[in-house]
Amino acid sequence: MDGRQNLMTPDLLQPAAALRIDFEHTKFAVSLAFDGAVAGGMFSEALDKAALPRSTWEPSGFANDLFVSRFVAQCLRVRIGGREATLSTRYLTRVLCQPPAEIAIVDYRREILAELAASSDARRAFEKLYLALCSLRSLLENAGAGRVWDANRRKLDILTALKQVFQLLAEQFSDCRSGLGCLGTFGAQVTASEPYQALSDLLNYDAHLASLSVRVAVGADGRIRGFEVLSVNENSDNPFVNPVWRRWLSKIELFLRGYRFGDGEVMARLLDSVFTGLEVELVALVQLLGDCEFYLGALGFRDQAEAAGLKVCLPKLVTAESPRDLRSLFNPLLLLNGSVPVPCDLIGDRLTSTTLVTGPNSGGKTRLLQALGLTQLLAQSGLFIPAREGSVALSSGLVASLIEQVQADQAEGRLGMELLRIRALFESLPPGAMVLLDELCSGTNPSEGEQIFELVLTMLNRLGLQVFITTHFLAFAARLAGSATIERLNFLQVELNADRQPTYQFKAGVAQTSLAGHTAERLGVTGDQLLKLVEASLSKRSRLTSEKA
Amino acid sequence: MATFLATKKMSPGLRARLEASVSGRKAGDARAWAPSSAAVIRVAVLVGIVTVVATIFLARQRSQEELAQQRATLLARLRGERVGLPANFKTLVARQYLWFESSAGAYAGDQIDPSIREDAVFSAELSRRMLYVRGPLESFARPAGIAESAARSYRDAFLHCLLDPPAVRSEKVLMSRARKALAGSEPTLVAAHVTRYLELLVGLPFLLPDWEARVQVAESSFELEKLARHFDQAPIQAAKQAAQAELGLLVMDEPNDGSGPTELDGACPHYVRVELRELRTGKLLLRLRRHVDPGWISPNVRWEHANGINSCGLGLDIREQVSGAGAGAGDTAK
Repeated sequence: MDGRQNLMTPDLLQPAAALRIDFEHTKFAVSLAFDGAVAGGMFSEALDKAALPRSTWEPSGFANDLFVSRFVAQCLRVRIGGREATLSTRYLTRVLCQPPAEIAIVDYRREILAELAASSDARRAFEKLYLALCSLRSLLENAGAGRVWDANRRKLDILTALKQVFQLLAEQFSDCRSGLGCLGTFGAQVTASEPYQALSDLLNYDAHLASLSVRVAVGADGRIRGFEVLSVNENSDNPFVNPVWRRWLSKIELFLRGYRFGDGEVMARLLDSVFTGLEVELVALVQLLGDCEFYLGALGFRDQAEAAGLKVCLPKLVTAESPRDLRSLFNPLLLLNGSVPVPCDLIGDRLTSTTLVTGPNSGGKTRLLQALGLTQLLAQSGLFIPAREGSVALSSGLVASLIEQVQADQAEGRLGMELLRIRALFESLPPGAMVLLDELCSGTNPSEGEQIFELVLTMLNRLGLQVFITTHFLAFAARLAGSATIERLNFLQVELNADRQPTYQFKAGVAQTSLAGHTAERLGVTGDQLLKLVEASLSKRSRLTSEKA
Repeated sequence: MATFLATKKMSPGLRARLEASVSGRKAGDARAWAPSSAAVIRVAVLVGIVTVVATIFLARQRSQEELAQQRATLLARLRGERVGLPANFKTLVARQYLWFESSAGAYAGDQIDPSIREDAVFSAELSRRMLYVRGPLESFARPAGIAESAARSYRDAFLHCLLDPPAVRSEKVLMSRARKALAGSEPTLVAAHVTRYLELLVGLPFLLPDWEARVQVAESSFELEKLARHFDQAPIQAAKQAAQAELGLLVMDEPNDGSGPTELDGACPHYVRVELRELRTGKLLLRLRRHVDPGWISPNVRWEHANGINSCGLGLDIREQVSGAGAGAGDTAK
């Protein structure tokens, strides 16, 4: 019996609390770390292997195309007191890429995040708890640093940090309404337990073994003339206080049992016995650290967006038949390179529909698909979405094909690879999922590509999905818009200003031009510009020839 | 398994974890205590040390007991040998030394106690247990000299003739007595009741408090064994006999007076002092000083037996002097 059955584990990712990390492995690692036998990585390793709530999403279908790892590393940042924390990004990426299948779990997370966002006290307490956990992690994992010269002192520091964490849990979260309340319950349960009392007694024993009252007499010349011990009071109520003769017998006993002879070994045994009683609780804290980062990262994302003048929100969760409504949607990946994204509104009659997005190159079509994918991902995970307000319907999966990667060992040409991708899409796509496809069938003859394009649209429509596809087959798109042969097919086009420059807003309809000429001119690929480059090259060559001659 | 680290004030849970911690197993683990190899080695070393110390202690104790037993045995023997000794045996040698020293000084004149004037009385006196020593006068001025003289006091014709005077004082008879004296075994004197002073000097120290103290302070069995061996070899019985002597007969040969040559056997004309005392009371029975001269002895005998003949003659002279006329006292025939 290890006591796990009676312990209420604080779980901030799901309402049915569970210890999702490998208990035995983590407990063993924690014991080793306490004894100073391992270096860093213990927390990360446990979190990386942690189980997550059941998810129908397959990360390989979208993670790379949406740059989820990069989003986690650079958008979910935790900055407390001017210092940036190092997060368990692999764990956060896993949590984000496997959103829960149950809406109750999503609601649970949304409530926690909402409370943290709404209450500055709650957030402050949460940050304080996170810092205390970080301090504990640092002490446990940094066995070779700091006060390594005194192993017992390091262990006392660890126990002090542990006590502080439990105190914070018990005192700061008892009034929380959301799932944060489980922290207060857990803290109260621990602080009322015998091992915690032993922890307090031991720390008290270390800090206050006895009181010595002395009187020092100082002469006129400032020198000490007298020294008198007035009283010596041993903290005899403390259960760790032993008479001197028993302390000596303890040392001899330990020596005979194979330990070292000395006061340090006696203290080491006391520390070990106290720590052993709290190992189970400490394992739960490892999981809690990862959970804290999940929410603090989301709050950090909100802070980052607000610093850029953007708004995020917890979206309304609606059914798939509800209208699409996203206000001031932005692509958070644009924050990564320092540019300020231009928000756009996306309004539609129905979420489960197919939308063809057309417009000029560099008009923001692909960025829109990324923003939609991340929005779905974040909303599904119970976090803030990159929009001022909006509504989202939970989907059963997400497939994004936004990057055209060429592999050195690929068996097919560009069209062949694209067709394979389409086949894989239909093999794994569950009904009710979201599909994001960038420039479908762009790798072949347009007339033949359009036939495949139309076939794919028809099939996707039958699955009842949320589909967004960008294309430069403008004539084809216009024909589809005019014929209305495919149900629930919508058209969005990039809005251009008076100078025919993209405004990064989207409106209904099919674009008339891709403005390839503008893009070519912007990138220096017009006839005049290329002619100048050719002439410059020829004159340089003739000059070199004459110099040689 | 309980531990001294646990206190009564600790909760049962903490106590269990503490006991588990010191015993090297996890709390709640019902397995028997499995000692670490270090603990086994340390306990083994400790047991070994305790065993060695205990063995050494017991061996030392046994040795001490044996030593005490050995000492007690030797002391018991010593005290047993003291039985029968005179009460003043501890100062016996010292008092006799004072006697010898005073007698070796200026001669105080002849003196004969009237109670021994009768020949029969004198003979009876001489039949009492007696201590005898003879040596050069100068040797009695120092302890080492007394010891040397005591060692040489044997085969003396003087004692033969004093105790058993020949009927005729002729050269032939005296020579016969001298030869008889020389024929005896080295430590043997003329009679069983006469003991050499040497026996007292050699044997009595083993019965004195000083030697007992050496036994008391001996620290090893080897030392005690050595003392016991010396005790066994010491002439204790002879010393006891010597200590029980009633009379002391002292003969001191003065140096050559220059009136004649020294013979090959060492005889020469010189004076001889003879003293007889009661040892317990210190009463002087006789003190005489007589001149001896080998000049009267036939030359063919003198070179070999002058000393013996003169000593025998001296014994006769003493008897004659005491009783006024002994057997053959007037005979001076050759």
